[in-house]
Amino acid sequence: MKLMHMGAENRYNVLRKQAIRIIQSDLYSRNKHNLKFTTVTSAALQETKKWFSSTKRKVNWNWVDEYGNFKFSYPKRFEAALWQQNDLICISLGRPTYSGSFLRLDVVEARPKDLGGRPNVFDEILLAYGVYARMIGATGICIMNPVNDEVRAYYETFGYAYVSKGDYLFREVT
Amino acid sequence: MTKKISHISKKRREKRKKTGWTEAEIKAALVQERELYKKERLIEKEPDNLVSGDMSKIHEGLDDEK
Repeated sequence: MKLMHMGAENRYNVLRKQAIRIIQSDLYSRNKHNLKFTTVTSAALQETKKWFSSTKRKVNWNWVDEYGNFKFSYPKRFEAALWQQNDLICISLGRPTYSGSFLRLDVVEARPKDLGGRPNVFDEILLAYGVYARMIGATGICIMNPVNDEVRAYYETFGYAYVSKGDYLFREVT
Repeated sequence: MTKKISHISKKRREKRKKTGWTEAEIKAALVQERELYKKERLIEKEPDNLVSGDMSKIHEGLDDEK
């Protein structure tokens, strides 16, 4: 890893952790002590392996391999793992666009519900992206490649507008 | 004389371009967004077994031109 890359990794790691601290403190302020945000730790990646046993899982993503590549390529990335007690219930990766104008939410996966009950999670994940977007000065969030019409319609309820050229949804950070 | 809200928002945007968001502003925006989501009951509409994105496209796609 080049020195400049390492410098960016370290600088943005501070920002990622600061964003996680802010969203976590907000969770605590609402007495949601059973929920915990972390960055994508090795423990989180290990937990995703359990998801292969689900019969309801819609994708066959290998988070361990994908995270390694993503981390190496994008030091400015955002990453979030949401836990309920000691169970991972959601994981997500995103990154700023090249000029840093927008923050992309690239992939998100919630734990399949046949592996245990959990609360809905997307609003918490989106709020965490909002915090990081503001920290890095991004002026908008793009949710990339919605998997189907149902998910796309759900994102639109958050005020996001679909952009067919590029297959993403966009909303300004205000 | 009171100023229009749109004028105040514009001034705030201009300030943020120069100085970025303060932590207090970020926290306030977070609370405001959460309240909005709660009011609209968006959490209840989440599809089962939510998954989204395309892992094969995470290294490509959008540049800064929308």
